[in-house]
Amino acid sequence: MSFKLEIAGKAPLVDYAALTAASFINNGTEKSLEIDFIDDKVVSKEINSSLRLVDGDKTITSGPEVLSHLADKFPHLFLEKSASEPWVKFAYENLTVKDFKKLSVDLEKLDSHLSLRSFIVGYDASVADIAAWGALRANAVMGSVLKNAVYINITRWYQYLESDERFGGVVELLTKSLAEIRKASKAGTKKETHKA
Amino acid sequence: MSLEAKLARLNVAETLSTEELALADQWTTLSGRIEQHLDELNDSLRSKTYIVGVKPSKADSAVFDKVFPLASKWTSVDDVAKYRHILRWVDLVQNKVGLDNKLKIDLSMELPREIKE
Repeated sequence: MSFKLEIAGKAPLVDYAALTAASFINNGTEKSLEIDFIDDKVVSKEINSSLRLVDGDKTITSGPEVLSHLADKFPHLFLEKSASEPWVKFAYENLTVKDFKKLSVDLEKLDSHLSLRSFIVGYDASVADIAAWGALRANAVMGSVLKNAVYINITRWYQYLESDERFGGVVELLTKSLAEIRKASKAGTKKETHKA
Repeated sequence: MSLEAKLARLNVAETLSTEELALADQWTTLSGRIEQHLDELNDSLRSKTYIVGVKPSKADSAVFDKVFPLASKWTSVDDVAKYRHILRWVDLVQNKVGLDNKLKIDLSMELPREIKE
């Protein structure tokens, strides 16, 4: 049975949440979810999506549905699935917005939510944290906002999660994998040129 | 089970960096007269999930032991707003160790937003 996640590494919004979910599985179970990186904006020309999860005969190409599917399959790894649902929606719809004027309204909402909380739901990293962290990691306008601690509670929460290998580790994994793909394809081209 | 015994169940990090160790030592020392350092503690926990940062350490237990009796008196909106980061951390630690008599904290309390200086 095939169990594989494909991630488009050049997508305008790389699905870091799905990648993080994959590393929860690969760190926390005997089972491993194979991750394939694609050096493009979409996983394939036919599928206009930045990700694709193949689990047996099931194929899913929406981020929230991938999280939902994996959370159902590994309930001991993915905490607070149902309480996380509104936050997953919020993450994919609101936290991916690049217009800062619009985004700032929702950042204030999240910052205020995190003023007395260390995690979005409960007392450990849950599905809600995976989705929100992933959305902010992919959002190009967030780098300086997080660094300058404009929203101090978000910055504290974000940095805590990033220090967790299952979150922070995926960034390096993506960079390294894309570099390897590029190197391999360059070597391939060279070989062919040589042959000709 | 005593508070001390419960706190011993905090899953502390095996290794701390030099900087983290220094912070842990500093706060363990200050925990003896924590009443005088509450503002400083609140400031420090603004940007840190645990006392030394991202890792739970013995300093969390030491400080929690002293702060917990004080924190139970912070019920007004003003006090919660003033010590919000300490309360956030108290709530994290008390849940991580599964305290029996948890301090009730109204997580949905509307607090004035802190303005970055």
